[in-house]
Amino acid sequence: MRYLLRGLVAIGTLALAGLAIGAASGATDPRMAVNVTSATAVSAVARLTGAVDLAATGPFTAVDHRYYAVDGKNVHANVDAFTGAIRTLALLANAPTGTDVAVAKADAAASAAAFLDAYGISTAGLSATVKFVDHGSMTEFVVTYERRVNGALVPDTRSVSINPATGAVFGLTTFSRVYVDPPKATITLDEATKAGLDVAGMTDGQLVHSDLVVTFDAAGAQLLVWRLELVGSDGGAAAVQVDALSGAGQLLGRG
Amino acid sequence: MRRVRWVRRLAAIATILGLSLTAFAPTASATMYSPPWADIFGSTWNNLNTIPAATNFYNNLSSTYHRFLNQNSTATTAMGSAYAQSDAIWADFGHGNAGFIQFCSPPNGATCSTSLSANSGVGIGCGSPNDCLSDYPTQIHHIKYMLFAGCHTAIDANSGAPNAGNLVKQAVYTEGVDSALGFRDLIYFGAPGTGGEIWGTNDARYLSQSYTVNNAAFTAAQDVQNANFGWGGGYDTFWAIGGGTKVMPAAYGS
Repeated sequence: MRYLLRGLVAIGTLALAGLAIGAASGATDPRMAVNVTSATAVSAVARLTGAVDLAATGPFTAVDHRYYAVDGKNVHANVDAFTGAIRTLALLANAPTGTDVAVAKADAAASAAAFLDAYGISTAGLSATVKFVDHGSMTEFVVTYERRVNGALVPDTRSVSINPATGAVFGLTTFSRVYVDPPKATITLDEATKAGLDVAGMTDGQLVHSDLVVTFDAAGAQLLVWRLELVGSDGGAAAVQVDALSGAGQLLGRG
Repeated sequence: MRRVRWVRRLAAIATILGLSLTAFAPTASATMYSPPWADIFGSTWNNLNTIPAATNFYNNLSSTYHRFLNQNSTATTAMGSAYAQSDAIWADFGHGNAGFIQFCSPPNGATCSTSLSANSGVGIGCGSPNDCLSDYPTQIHHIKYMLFAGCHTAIDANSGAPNAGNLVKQAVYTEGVDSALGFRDLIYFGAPGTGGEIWGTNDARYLSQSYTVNNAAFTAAQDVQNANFGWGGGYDTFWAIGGGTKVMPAAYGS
């Protein structure tokens, strides 16, 4: 009964988190709650890795969630303390040790799909792309699964890192959150760029990267934002997000 | 600790005197200490502040290294005999671009932006307070891990320059450093969850747990994604040569 109640509370909180558009400012994102024990976090990672030497630390507090770090020999994972989902997983025994490529892109995609399927990680409704990434003394295939609504990346993504020499999976990320389909942006990219330059204090910067994404504020309210990367005339960079409905901007960092 | 710091100061003074006597001739050889030295640099420039990220790297690097946190040093200082030429680990967090990474010297202003370039073919020159890796053909080869934590620091700056004007290539291929790592895209510092502070913390932590350079960078980049709901903030574009190197147990490079 205790677990049933805990489960109902979790589901209810999750629903509130996803539908919290317009939540009162100053409130805390419901997803900051801790519903999962460290033992459950370890079990989740053990199920995917077979590792028997795992230990969890945390929960730690990040900007929009709390999480456990789960570590073992050649394994590191971050587990969401609200949902119990694995957010990131590194399987370093399978990591590339060189730049040999013996696997085709299609085979990398197949390996990723088989891995996700084997562990019941759904990709329903998501589109897959495969990218070859050069890291100098190692390379990887990154198979990314995502969905866009009205051009916006919604918070339901997976990525799988494949060793190009062996086809083995050595990395996984899963990020999912209950959301409602976003409306079309009413702020154009040009308008957002101007607002972003203002936020960054750049008078004559250039837009380098942009994306339209669904995200959440500190209270858990759903947002639709332009995430922009800008470079100023002095060569300095800034990452900003601009609300695609209101035009309000926020600095994310400088480089 | 106090004694070693005093020795270091003396070494720095000796370097200055040596430089004045030998004009532009670099010091002849590296110095190795026990425990091995690690110098970590952070700086302020315009609105960018990389000191928190450098501090996190410093705090999480194994104490089996003799660690030094340096704020707003010049590029010339960072490459000096009491710094890079005595280091097993050398890490700079700063503004960067293809072929160079930036240092500063307080107060902010005209003297702030000093740069370490790959070689004289790129950047703003090699004269003090700027510097170039190519000025140290024999003096920094004992560095085991050299980190250029700035935007685009692993990109070729000039196809006509030696090693294409790339900091990472120059450090390993010509100066003999065991491993070097930079980034091929923009990376960010200074806001909660953005990346630099998280990546700096965890790269040092994983290196100290005997991860290879590649595996530490990869796993730390995943931690940035964890903090940013999947956005890598550029840290997933790490690019290293000698990425199979481990910095543990603490030791100088070959």
